[in-house]
Amino acid sequence: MEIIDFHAHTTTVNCEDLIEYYNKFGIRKVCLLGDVLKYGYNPDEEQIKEINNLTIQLTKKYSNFFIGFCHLNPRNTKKFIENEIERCILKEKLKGVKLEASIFASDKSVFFIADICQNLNIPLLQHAWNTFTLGRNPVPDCFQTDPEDVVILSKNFPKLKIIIAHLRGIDIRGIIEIKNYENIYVDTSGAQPVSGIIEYAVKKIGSERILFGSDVYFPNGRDIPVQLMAVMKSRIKIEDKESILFKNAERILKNDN
Amino acid sequence: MIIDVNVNYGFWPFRKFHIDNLAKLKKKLKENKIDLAFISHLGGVLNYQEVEKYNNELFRKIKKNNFFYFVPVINLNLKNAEENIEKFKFIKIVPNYHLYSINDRKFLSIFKKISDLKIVVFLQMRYEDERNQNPLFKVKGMDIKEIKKFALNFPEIKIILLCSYFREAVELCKIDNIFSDISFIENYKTIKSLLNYITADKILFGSHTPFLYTESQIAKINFAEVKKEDIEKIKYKNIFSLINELENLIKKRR
Repeated sequence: MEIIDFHAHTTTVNCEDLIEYYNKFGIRKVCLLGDVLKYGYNPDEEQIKEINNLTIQLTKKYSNFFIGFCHLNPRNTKKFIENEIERCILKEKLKGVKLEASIFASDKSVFFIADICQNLNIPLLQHAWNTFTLGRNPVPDCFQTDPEDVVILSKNFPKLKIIIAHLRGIDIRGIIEIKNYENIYVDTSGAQPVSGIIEYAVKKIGSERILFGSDVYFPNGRDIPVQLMAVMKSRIKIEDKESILFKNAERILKNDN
Repeated sequence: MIIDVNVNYGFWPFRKFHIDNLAKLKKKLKENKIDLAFISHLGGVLNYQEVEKYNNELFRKIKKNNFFYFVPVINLNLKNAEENIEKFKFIKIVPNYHLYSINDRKFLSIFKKISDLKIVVFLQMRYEDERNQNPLFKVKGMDIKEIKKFALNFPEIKIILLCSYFREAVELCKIDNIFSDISFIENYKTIKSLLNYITADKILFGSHTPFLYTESQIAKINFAEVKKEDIEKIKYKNIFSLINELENLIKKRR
């Protein structure tokens, strides 16, 4: 079993320690989503480029290990977004797009990006949380996407593969919201390894729509074995674990550009 | 040997625990090579006027058991709290669920008694990550300024924080009489990174079962990449030092 971590970040170009740590647990591929919080929630165009440059550099340096995602801010100009997608996805072969908390996923500015992703057949990974608990706009410039926002995006782009981040963040309420939308997947990352939520998600939406994600933010963030054990030791069938740990990720990432 | 200082029994609103009885708890903990577990009843946390009823219920259920150690939940607001604590070597307090401040002057006398009797205090920082609480059941975590003030006022009281976050543990464990369990502490290479800030003498193994996966907590120590003697302190030696009689008690029970 060659596990894929679908949700990881790093702030540094020197990742030997991180890769060695991953290897201990049989994790052979990692989706790098960029140092998305480096410049806060509303990075400008130069800042976005810098974040993506690090991701590109890492996917070249550790080409057998990292799969890069292009970070975008929907509040930047359309022209810049188009150019950045062309640079990162078409030229540099990053495999998907990561959106953070710059704007809600239901905002029309996200539709512009979603449309391009759908046409290119690449996945879009959207940060989300349950804002009933967290607050919709907890700090200036931070727009916390709810599962309902992602559902709106899904309805408008039914062929787009959307990964909603943070299963434990969206929690039971989030699972119920996304249940009927087959093009929405969820990654297992977010918060402590709370027991029961993976089992609940498998029961409600099936393991085919769940992806293992650690949310490591090297050299900080979550601890890989802590997050991995939450899947490995959950009370689900071995086939479901295989789907979550690598099969679904392989399927989603297979799209060639 | 592993001693788990943070295990819970009972019901919790909006969460369905698969591990919902003592037999299942024991099985899960033993599977994870945990030898002893400090356990409290969640009923006494939620039913703040009936803590004694729930304490008694749990005590009755585990008194013939050599695996669980009973930790009474004490509500300082209740009239008989002061006389109740006399019989215990360690207690758990949950100020944010029982709605009081640990620095309220009305508790000076009881804390003086706790200090004189050298009762170890388990201080529950939270039960759930505030960002994951059900919106109908939101309870703030403990304020670290309040804990600092309390710890400095009562330097003889040994305080074990349960479910503190990484940054809270780092800040509070600088104070001599404060210790922390690891259940909510998480960072890249959790223990190794924690030991960059505080010594292993301040850290105890706690799983917060059944809220969290026990195996995830065990993984923190199994993959710690630190000295063996530090891990042994975390696994059991520190709790032996904090509760003097514990080592003998364990030998006797065995």
